[in-house]
Amino acid sequence: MSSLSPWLPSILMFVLFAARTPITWAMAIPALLFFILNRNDVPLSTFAQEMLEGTQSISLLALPFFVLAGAIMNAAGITRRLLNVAEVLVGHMTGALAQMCVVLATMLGGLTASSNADAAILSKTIGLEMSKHGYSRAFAAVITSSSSIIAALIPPSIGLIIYGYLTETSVGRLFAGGVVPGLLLAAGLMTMTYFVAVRRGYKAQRKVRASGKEVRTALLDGFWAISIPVVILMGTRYGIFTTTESGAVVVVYTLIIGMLIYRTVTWKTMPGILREAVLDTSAVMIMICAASAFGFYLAWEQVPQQMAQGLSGQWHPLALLLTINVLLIVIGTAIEGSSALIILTPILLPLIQKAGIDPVHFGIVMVANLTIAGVTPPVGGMMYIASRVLNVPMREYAIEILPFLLMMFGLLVFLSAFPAVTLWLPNLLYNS
Amino acid sequence: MSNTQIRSGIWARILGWPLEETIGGVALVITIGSVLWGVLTRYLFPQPAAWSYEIATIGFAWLVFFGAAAGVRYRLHSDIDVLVGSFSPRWQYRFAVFNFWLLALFFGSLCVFFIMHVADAHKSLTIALNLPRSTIYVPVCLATALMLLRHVEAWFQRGDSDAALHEANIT
Repeated sequence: MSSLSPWLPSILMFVLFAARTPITWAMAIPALLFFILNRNDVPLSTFAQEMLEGTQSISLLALPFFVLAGAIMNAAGITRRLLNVAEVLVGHMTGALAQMCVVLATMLGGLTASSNADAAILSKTIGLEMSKHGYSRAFAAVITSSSSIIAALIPPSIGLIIYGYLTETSVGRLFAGGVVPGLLLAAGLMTMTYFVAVRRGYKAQRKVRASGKEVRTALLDGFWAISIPVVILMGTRYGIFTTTESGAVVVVYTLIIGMLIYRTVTWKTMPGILREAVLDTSAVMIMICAASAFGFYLAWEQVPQQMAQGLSGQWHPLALLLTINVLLIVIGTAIEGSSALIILTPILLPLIQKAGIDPVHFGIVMVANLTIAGVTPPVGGMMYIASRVLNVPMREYAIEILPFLLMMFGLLVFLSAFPAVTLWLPNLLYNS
Repeated sequence: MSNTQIRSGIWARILGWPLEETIGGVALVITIGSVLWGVLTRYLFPQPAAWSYEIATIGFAWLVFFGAAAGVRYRLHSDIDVLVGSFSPRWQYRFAVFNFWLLALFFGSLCVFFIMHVADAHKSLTIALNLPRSTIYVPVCLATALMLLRHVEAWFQRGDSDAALHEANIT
């Protein structure tokens, strides 16, 4: 076999990406080529087995559960209730609607598990409201899409479940690790919003701070939804159920909230909700299945190890992490977040292991980075969603997002340089 | 109405029925139910249900593959159009044709590989329920056959315009 042969499937994958072959099949086809080329060493039926590998994972079982729970909460009209909570908490601040958007995104992050879903919800609700109240449409698109990034960090998060599966890292620890960075991102977005709002004269929604009674009423109304991340973290921390089981428990919990407490979900609406969950889950999962088959080739040819040997020996962990951050931002602008995560994690894992970087720390940095890439022009899923809903040209969006991007890149550097910020909560919850 | 028209009407109804999502939805409900049953039996009975995760993973496999077939049908699988999108419509069409044949060949091969896998796995049994492993793979075979069918269907229903080709994401 020539020296090029071990790299052939990898090269083919990138050629197919460029040729606009759907990402899932662009990974599966080179994997199939590998199995055909090596049929004397590996039985061909192993390819089918590897394609099914992801669906036999207990940790990935959590994915459809959280997707379904998000769809149920969405159908239950929880956004309006959470908006009330956001209004009483920050409605008195300058640029109140934008501040409410960030607070709402932080609360929604604990429900929907998906940044793209959040971007759609936020831009259709509060984004349109902002443009009606004199906020520039570009700013509304920027704040709604940027706020959606928080969903990738606040538990439950689809990205963290996938990363946990790919790296065999505890999803519970990853969930706990995302909380502080998620809250820091929310604080950063609120600070930036404040400065923009003061300069442009964006008003408060209410003249005075909400009274204690108003806050209490709103919090009670939204309590059931807000409590979901707590149910997950506490349930897994105290061993009542595993992270996967917490997904199934949350589905029942959201069904009870939607059907019995808020009475907005009915049996009639369930087929539509199930359909949405099936389509969303399988779109990501089939990609993971293809990545499993491709991962078999990578492991067989020891491609990541060869790359690790060539790179990590000369690198300081922080320098390596910052370089990977730059690489991910560039790649993330061209490839959708989940796809990039699935493709790149097996390649990068040996590098970070060799450099002695904690996989939970790396997972949070990686997921945050690839989600930030979703709002970075010229290609970004959340950017497209918000811009399309709010009818914003890309050039205006690109100018408006610059200061927010600088803040988010600063946060990435901060998270990379100080692992303790990420690891404090998982260590507190799971090491005690 | 001629016999040909009636036959094509029946076929259109059969092809139009949301078979993939229905099977995927049922599989999702079964998956959730069995995991929940596993949690409940752990607390309620001295002997927890050992089969719950086995059923859950079988349901999960069906959910993913039938859902993926629906993804092919509704053109939901994402691609990277940065390079090809910058080409002339003529070249974009050529890439679309290339991808159509490539994927048709791939879906066909995938179906054959799963059939081989069914034959290999029929005699081996699952751990808890002692079911032949082919019970997992036969529906997956059907799902991959549906991927091929939906892929071809999507191509023939794409319309003529370049925009339809792009929108359809038939690649």
